[in-house]
Amino acid sequence: MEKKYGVTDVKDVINLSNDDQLRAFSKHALENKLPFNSIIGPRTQSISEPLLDGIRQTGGKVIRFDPTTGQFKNIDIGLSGPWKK
Amino acid sequence: MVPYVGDLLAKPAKAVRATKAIAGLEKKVAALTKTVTDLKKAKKEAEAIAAGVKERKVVKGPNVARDSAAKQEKAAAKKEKDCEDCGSTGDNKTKSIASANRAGSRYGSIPAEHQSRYDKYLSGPSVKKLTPDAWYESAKRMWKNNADGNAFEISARTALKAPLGPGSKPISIEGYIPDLPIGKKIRCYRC
Repeated sequence: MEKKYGVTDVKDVINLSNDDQLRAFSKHALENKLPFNSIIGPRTQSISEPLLDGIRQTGGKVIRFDPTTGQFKNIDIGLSGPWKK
Repeated sequence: MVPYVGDLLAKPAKAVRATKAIAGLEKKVAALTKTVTDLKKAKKEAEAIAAGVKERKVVKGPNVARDSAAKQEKAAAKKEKDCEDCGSTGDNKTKSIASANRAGSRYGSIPAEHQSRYDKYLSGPSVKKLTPDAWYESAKRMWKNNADGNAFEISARTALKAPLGPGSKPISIEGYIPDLPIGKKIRCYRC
């Protein structure tokens, strides 16, 4: 299937939060009407609410990538609040 | 005649007054000069104290690490001595390891290729100065994290068939480089 990258960042951390880098990406995506996505790893346990709000605002997605299987899976981030595994 | 007599009396009296006034002024000048000298001396002393404090602050950090290194060296020496004491069995291997540790104790277990990094760290702005071994452990952990993070990113980019290698991230947003090209259509075979 065809898919747009939008503004996508790849992060393999345990707790993902809205740092200056991700804030800049979110802002850029919003200004350019692009989706702001985040690709996380299997060990990611939580994503902060401000970061998710930035993703939701742009219609972006959170995708989990498992390097051992090479599979991507969409994560349900809901309409509000943080995400926990 | 009368004016001459008046002059005769008044002039010496005036001279006496002037001399007294000059003497008073000289005293005042001397006192003020002394005050200025004292102030200059005090200023110099204050500057010397301030410089000493500053120097101590600069040296304090590395000294902590140096002290730790010295402690490690002592511990290594003691260990070696212990080994020598109990080494009547002739365990040359243990002895040589202890000797090697002692020789490189300034850097603990930091390999030669990373020792300059430790020196750079000691002279850097970090307030908490780690001992050589603690620094090396911390550095190894960081290097591993960086390598793992990069490996994850590369495998994700490979799976997305995104460009890899030099020039594959040409865009910068407010000084930050996104991991994937922006707004470009790609074919994701595994999504």
